[in-house]
Amino acid sequence: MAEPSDAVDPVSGPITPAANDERPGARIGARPALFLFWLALLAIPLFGANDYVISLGVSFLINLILIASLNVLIGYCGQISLGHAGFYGLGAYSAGILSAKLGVNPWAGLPAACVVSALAALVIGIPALRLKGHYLAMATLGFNAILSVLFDQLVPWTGGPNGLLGVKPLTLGNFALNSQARVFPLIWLCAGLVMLALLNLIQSRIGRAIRAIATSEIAAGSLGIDAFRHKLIVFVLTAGMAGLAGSLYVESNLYASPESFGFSLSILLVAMVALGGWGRYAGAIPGALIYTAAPEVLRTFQDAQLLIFGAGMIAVLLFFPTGLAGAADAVARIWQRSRR
Amino acid sequence: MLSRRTAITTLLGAATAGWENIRASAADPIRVGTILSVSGPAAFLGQDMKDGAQLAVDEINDAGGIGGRKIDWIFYDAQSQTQQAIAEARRLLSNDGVDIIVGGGNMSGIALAIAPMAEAAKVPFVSTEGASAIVNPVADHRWTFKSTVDDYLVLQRAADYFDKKGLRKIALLADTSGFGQGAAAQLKIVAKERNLDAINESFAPSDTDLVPQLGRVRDAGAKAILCWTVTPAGVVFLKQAQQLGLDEKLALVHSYGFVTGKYMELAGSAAAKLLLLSQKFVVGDQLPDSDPVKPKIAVLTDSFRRRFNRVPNQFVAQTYDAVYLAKMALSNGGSDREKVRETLENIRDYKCASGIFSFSPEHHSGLAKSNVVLVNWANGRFNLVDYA
Amino acid sequence: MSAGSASATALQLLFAGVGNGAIYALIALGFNVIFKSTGALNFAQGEWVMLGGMIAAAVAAHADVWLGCLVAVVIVAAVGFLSERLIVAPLKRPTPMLITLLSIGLAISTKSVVMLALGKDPAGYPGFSGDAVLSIFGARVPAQTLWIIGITLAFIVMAHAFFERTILGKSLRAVAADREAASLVGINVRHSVMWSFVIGALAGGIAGTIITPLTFTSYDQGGLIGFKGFSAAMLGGIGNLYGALVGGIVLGLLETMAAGYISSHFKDAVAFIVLLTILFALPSGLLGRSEAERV
Repeated sequence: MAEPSDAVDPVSGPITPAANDERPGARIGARPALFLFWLALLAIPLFGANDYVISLGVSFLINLILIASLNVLIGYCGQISLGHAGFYGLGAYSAGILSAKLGVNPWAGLPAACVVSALAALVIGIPALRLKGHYLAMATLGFNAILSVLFDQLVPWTGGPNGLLGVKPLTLGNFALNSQARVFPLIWLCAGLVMLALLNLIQSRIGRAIRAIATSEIAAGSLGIDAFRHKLIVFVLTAGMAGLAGSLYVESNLYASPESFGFSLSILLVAMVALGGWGRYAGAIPGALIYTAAPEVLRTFQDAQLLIFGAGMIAVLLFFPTGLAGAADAVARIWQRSRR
Repeated sequence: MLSRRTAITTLLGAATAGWENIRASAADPIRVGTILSVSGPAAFLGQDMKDGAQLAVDEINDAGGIGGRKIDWIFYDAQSQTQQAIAEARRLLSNDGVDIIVGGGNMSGIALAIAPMAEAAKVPFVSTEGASAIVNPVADHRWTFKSTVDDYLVLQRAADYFDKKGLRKIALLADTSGFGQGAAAQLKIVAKERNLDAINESFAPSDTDLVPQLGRVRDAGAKAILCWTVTPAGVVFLKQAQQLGLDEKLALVHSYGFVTGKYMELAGSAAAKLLLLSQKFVVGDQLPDSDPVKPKIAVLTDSFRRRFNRVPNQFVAQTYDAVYLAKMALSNGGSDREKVRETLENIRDYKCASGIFSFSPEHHSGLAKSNVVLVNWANGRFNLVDYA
Repeated sequence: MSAGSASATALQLLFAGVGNGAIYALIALGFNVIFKSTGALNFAQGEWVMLGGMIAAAVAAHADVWLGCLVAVVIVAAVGFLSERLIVAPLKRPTPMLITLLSIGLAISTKSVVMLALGKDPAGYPGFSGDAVLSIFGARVPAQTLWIIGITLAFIVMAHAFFERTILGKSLRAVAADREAASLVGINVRHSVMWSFVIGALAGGIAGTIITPLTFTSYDQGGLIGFKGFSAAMLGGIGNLYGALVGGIVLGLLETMAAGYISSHFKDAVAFIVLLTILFALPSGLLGRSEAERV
């Protein structure tokens, strides 16, 4: 059985996603699977013993938004962005500043964060997306680094290195969403909408177009696909989603500090996309799971934590280049084959 | 008839009430939570602080605990990251149900983030970090206490020294971290009060080249440079000041965050003319016998040496004392958090290894200016230069 | 204040900028060599620099500084070799993306091994001429800065000779230009990749050993300096040997001048803003051929 195409020269060619011709959800309907999974997530606040456990659930959902959106950009679009944490931070600070410094209703912060991040992506994307893969990587990395300095230095607005304090929680009338349990439903809803939107995107005409672009821009161009426009759309959309994640973060923590949005996080997010399996819709879930759970699981190893994480990452990538989702797929295929 | 608003509120409240399960604190051991950074950029003092707290906890437990109850000490590594620390503070407050938190990540930024969480959860928090903003304004920080000297007071102490030497024009070279910028903000106030002509320069904590800043300071005619950082950039400062010949002409002073032999050794000959603002701990044996802190320092130095096989520094003392402050409050209040808080607020003249602690309802910073001295580095150790 | 202090200040900043720039150039060079042979962004480059400094410090604590640096450079080159064996050689399909991601894992692992083995404390050692400082037309220049500039130039010259004159060097260039053609004429492509890693690590290790007397180092210093090296590589034109030198020096000067004449608060941001401007206005870099694909 043919492997998913890596049609371009693997060494010097552009970034190729692992599953170009896979129709997401071809085997089990993707939408029902998503719906079921999402319902299952409600177990967290219902059975979670305390605020801390629920906060892990909240983190997972926010991380999922980040990783899933980056996954679409890298995996389906073939573009590496090393500035995703920057858009995340931009969203967080936009929402946070609106609430803490300008006294605006925190609800306005959510759409505002999306818009600010999307606009920033537009500004960076228009020049950067005309260039080959690694130029976008460097441009976004530089952009992230600049944002870090700004978050750190614009003290009257961002609170500087000590962080932004005084963010007001979201309220429904007199009911304030100021605990992890209370804010969970909102985040659950937003993350669910994002996952749905991403699924729709990759199953749409635009989605097919960007997968064609990822395989070969020239070939896609010959089919009349405007590569630049499509890449820009995806870049801006996913940046907006990262911005949304940022606003959700700041409203659930009521705090933001510059070191949470540095380029090392951007790099780590790319690593998580790879671990989960880029180009696979479901890959974002193991990626987000690992990212959220690893510090908890590795807590007992303290100093060795970092080493286990790095070595583990190398091991997974060496043995499962298509990530954990790809490995799961391979296992499923083998199992199906053995049944015939 | 119920208004719609109230109805919605009640419904939502009822729906989530079941989800808000905070485990009630268990009966027997007293739970003390500590968050410190033993990895990441702040790690070099985090390990010492952890060991200091460890020693205190073990001593207390060996002596029978607090009112017969042993301390269950829960420690988390903040990894020098505020986000991590927030998650851990949340864990301590809701998952582990601690009675008190001692230690705020050994970074002012982390302590500043933990304080509001402690306030909301109504759990006492004894911070071992430097920025005065951690406990001010007191009205918003009823539950937060600081076992260190305010940077405002440390700067006043520096001003005392500059007065003595007739130095009017001074430059502050602070890093852009919470620690450095906190000092920068306080210096503006102190300079005005003490009639000093202060220049403000800054650098990034990871910076490895301070020549531009030093050049400007020299050209402005400063007579003293006060460097405020805990990172190796402070060693670069010394070396480059020496390189530019500034150590001959200007007084070079480092903050209390830099008082560690490791940095002095790295600086080599560049540390020869350096002065440092410091707690009395590092020159304990050189203090006059009349100083009540002197015997406390000797005792701690001895016990730490026996337990950990190395000489303790003032970071060890900081957390050691913080745990004992907590012990004092817990002995009186037990698991009654309000009582613990009140006890902390009323501690007066409690003599410890890092100084004499006094709190009050208006003042949640424990140490006074008199606990700060000036030292230098010679003969492989710190030496007392200016006592009062 | 000394007379002519404005020009003395400028000269002071010039030396500091060129000194820093030389280090960026070395890092950029190592980065470029690996990029040319694999198409991947090597995120471990900065960690190799840090490794060089840390090992040299560990050895120099018990022996001569020169010996420490020599040992460090040899060990780091060996680490480069081992890294390639670990993350590239086993790959059936060594795509640039995959190698880039693996280099991230490698960077994390290297950093943590250093933390566990050599501790978290900052480390340093005296320069090759001790702490000597020279006075050059009013500028006070540490002797180490001159060593740095000298050694970097020597390395660039040797690298040039290597790539132009030796069989191995020429084969590396052939592989970089066209892999398939190179393998058709009998060049072992996999072998070349291995050598590129060794050279990349060598450049990084040397950079680390010569800069540490001035800047000190610790286990977490690798990331930022690696990143600045990447920026220098982009500035000069990625994959271009002389671009690395030019990009490095220009970046070093820009940083220092910005800190000296504009503001030290936004020093890092200024360097990156200029980088972004170059990327958008002149993406092939100062010396690069136009590799940017206009779509």
